[in-house]
Amino acid sequence: MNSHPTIADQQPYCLILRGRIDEEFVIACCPPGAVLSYTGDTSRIAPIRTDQAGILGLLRHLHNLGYVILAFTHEEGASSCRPNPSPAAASSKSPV
Amino acid sequence: MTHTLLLSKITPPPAPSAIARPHLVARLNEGLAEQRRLSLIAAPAGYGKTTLAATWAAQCSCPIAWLALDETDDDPIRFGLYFVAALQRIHPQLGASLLPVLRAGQFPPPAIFAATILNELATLNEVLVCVLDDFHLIHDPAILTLTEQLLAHATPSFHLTLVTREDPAIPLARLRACNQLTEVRAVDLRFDRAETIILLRERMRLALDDAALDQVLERTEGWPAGVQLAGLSLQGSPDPARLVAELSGSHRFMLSYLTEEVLARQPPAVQEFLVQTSILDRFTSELCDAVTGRTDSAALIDYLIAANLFLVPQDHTGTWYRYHRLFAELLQTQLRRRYPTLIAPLHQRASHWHEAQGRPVEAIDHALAANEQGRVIALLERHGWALLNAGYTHALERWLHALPDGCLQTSPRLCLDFGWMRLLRGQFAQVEPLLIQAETAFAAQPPANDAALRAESLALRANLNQTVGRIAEAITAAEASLAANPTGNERVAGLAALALGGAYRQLPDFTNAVAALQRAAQSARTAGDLVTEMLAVAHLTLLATQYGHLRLAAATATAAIQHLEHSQTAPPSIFGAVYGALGLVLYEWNDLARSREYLERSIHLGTFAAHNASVIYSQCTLARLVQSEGDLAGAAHILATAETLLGQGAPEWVRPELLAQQVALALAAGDLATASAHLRRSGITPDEPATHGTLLVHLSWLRLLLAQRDPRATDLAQHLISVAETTGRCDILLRTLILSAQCYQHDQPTATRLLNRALAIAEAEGYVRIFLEAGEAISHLLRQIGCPPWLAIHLPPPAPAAPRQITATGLEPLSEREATVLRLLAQGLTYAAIAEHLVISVNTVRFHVKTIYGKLAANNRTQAVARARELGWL
Repeated sequence: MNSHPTIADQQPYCLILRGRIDEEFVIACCPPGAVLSYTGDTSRIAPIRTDQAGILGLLRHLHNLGYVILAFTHEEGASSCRPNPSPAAASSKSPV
Repeated sequence: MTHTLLLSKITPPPAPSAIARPHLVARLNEGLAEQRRLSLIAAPAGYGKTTLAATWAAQCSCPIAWLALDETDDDPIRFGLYFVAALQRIHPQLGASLLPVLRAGQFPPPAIFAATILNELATLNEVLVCVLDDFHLIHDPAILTLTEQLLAHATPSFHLTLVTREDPAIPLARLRACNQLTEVRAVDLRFDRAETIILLRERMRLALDDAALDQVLERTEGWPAGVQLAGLSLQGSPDPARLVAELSGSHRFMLSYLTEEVLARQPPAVQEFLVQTSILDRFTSELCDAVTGRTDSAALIDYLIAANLFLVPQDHTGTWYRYHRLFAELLQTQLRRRYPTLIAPLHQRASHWHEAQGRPVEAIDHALAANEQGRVIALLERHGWALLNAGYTHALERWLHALPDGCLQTSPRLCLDFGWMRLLRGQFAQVEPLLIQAETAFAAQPPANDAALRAESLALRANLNQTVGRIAEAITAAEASLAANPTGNERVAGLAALALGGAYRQLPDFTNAVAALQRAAQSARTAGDLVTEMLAVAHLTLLATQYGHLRLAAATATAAIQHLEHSQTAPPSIFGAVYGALGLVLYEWNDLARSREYLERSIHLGTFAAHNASVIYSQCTLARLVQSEGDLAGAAHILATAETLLGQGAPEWVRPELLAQQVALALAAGDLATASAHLRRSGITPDEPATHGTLLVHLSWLRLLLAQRDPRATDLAQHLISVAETTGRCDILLRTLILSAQCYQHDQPTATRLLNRALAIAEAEGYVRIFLEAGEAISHLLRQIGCPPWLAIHLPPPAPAAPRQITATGLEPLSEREATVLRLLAQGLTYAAIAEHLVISVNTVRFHVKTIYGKLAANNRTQAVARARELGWL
């Protein structure tokens, strides 16, 4: 993490959600560069490079769509955000 | 009641005298010039988002519609009303057709709402910018869908600007990818060094050295609210170095610290005023006087403006103001700390002021904030019914949840209001518990005390039963309500009679239903309860047309329309059905132009109100009208739309209406297989006994059997005549008689007897079109038996002999009506004269002429007539 991130800076975030999120949602609503991948019954979107207003809006959007957020971390150094390496995950990675 | 709109919410704020930010204004202008659909100004509080939008709006070359949103606008109806009002400040007619629906408490389907606005804008030939400020307060899915629809289909004439603390739940990435999005974010809005110098050294005249200035910039991270408040703090600080050094932590902490610093430097009267008025979302000097008990609020507001203390003007007249949201929150913290016992009295005074100003919504909200449950209940008891009828169902729901459990037990009045709300929202299962609470409350009191309320409780129960199909229980409860209403409360009598009429309509018992519905309409009108009156009128007109009582339907509908026009009240959504019923009557009377007008009005209103039943009902009649003009493809298109709507959800009673018209169209096209398929899909066979609910389907079977020359037709016709006579369904009887006459056209005495009976029924109600639809065979018979004058004037002249060269030339044959129009064209009649002769509109004549030209490959009348003569068609 940046030693002194401000409220205005764009930061890379990682989100893990329960269930398989629709790829269309990521294309329509996530910042460019976000990659969607699946591990078992979870979806991972990262890096979500945006500022505080962007990430808050995205979290609320997902919440209102009924998604369960399992993990929300800063992308750099967030080991818990990494999905378990598995052939399925590798094969289902989708840059959007 | 009417919706009182605050003009200050839809007036762009005056151009602020803030730091000029030309690069950001230029970015917004560039987005507009490149015809991008959306500008997004997204950043946390205190970054100067509204200031930037207002600065841009003040110098923008395009007209600006502005809407300052607050928490209560997260309600589709309220948002819709304000949104249209904001647009109408620029173009007074924009979205006018949406207002009646919104005022009636209905939110049009977002796609229809957006299409209406965008289509109207497209005709204006100029770009309109719409700014929605504080859009982060909007979470309602319907409003978000409307926003998405506006953006998805926006034309270059519409540009949306969203000012928000967080990204809205709309597909921003897609807009970004399509270069349809201009963004200004926190990183763009934070002050740079040059801007900080302008603010602190030039505007505030602070003698800060470079180090101190850099320290302010570093500590505040260029956050504009922080820089400004730091400047205000430094202005009178005895120790600027210490103050700057102590700036640290989150924005919130910093702001809190600085606010205390700034407040401490204000005169006591100003401090007191700021803190006490912080409970107000927006305010005038009069409201501030009322809340604080002062008389100098106007002067204090002027002082705050001059001191630049985060006051945001809400209009150009200097009437309404609000505090910057962040500042207000911190002032409220101060209020809780300094005057905790004063909070409730301040809200109480605000509540009373708003009630006196006729703003019950704000009055109730402040009473709730004052924790004055008694007053909340009293206000709801006084205004609840009116608010419910005005469509404030979201607010009522919110207040219901805010009231503590057990609160309703003391107010049967509220139990009933919320019960009606549940019923109107289709939450039938939740009505019963409220009824039980009301009845429990009654049980504890002598009956005489609450006679009207007890009667209303029974009326609510009757309406609930009627709605869910418990007919016998509905009739019992409605009659009990009417009997228990000795004081003659007309509003309650109207509600009970409405349930009674609805129940009798379903029974079916035409006579009692009409009597009850007429009483409902009359009582409701006397009580000024427009919604109940119009519901009764809608039931009555539909019932009357269903039973063939055209004159009753027309008289009821016309009186209701005149009443609406006279009272200048918006028609409720159910009124689409009344327009549709009148359209049907006018069609039967062969007044096609007016029929079309009312049918289109019905479809328009029904579509906006998402009232599928009235839309489908009117589309069926419109398809019939279009088919009668010879446009089978047009009729098929209308029916396909109706079928789609039916699939989206509509009551079962409209299904036979659609089926009957689909069969009629297929038969008109000679497509017996499709007609048969439609009928088989209904699951009703021609051999099973007809009932009130299947009469239309059986009538369609009769048409098909006749077309197939099936011998079962005669028996079915006899059966239908018998059932129609028993159930009093004049319309079915009339149609069956005419179809039977067609069946017996080679047995003239029988056909004549049947037709004469049909004529006797038809004359009483003015039926004309039904004879014309039956075609030349019936017209011929009518001429032979000496058609009565009232019908004779509508009969077409005998059709010319069938053209002989059609097949040989491969040309599409003319319909019967087109052949007549062609003959009149050849006689040199004008369109108007043809229209008058055939009793159709000039537009219909034009339509026929266009079709004739197409079929004859002609470009004008001379060519068409010459070609027709060549072909022997004339």
